[in-house]
Amino acid sequence: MKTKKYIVIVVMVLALGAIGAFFTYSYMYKPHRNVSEESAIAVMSATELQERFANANGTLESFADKIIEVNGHITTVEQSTTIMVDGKVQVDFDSHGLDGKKLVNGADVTVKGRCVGYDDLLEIVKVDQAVLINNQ
Amino acid sequence: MKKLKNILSLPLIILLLLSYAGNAQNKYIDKNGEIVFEASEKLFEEVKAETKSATAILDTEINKIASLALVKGFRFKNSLMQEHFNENYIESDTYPKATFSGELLDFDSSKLTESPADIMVDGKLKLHGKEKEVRTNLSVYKIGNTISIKGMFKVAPEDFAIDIPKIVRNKIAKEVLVQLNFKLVQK
Repeated sequence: MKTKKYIVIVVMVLALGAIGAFFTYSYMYKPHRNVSEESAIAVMSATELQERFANANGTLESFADKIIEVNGHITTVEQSTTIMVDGKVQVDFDSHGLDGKKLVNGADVTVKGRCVGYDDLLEIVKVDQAVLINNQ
Repeated sequence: MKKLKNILSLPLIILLLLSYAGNAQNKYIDKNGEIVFEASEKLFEEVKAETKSATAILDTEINKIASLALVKGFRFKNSLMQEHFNENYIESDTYPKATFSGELLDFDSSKLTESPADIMVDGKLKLHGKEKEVRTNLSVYKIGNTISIKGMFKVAPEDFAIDIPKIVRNKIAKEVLVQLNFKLVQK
């Protein structure tokens, strides 16, 4: 009888430990945010986004680290995964953000990505982890 | 009389602006500069982050270099580490960027070749609201109209008033190794 009680306690302790370990592990190694699954908090043109940051004097970074949707013309394709939109916003695509589509100068694009902040050396806004939404 | 002076100085200003624009071929720019920093300790989890969207501008006439990295652009393998880095250590909401501005010493861009040359850079690194002088050797070479700059240096968190809590102090190296790799294209 006593051994049965003992076994029950051991099993319960082990189960609690396993649950605790699971939560600790998932807290410590939670996955990175997935931009394509998050919805954008704002939709605007590249020019408008750049002006918001430029006029904020670099102090108000309300969009920093937020997911936004930006549209405009591609002014330059810097590298296979980097484009400039209207010369005002630099967009770095995620490794799978392009889905094999090709980008050309002058095309209209809409992208969704994480706004990193304002680069006051070049006076551009940087967006990374982007996914292509529309490309014409 | 004063008005006349103003009118006379206007063309001068325009001329200055024009000559500035005319010097654009001295500018080399990289918008996708790579910066990696690492503060790993043996036996503990890797403390390492990387950005591939740093900006660097080199003016080969005055031999000045300026670089800017948005702190939120640094990515860690471990997302919780990235969160703690941004919120508790570097406070990226208050101090969103890290900048470096400096001068390449005894540098002559016309003498650059495809084989790397050692160039000393001297400048100020600014982050977390603090400034520190950094002097290090860079390896510089030129292929076509692209100047490549590679280098590394060490800084300490306390130089920038970044406080590491006691509980994690032995998991984070006292010195942070910063590596940079810029490919600057002539503009």
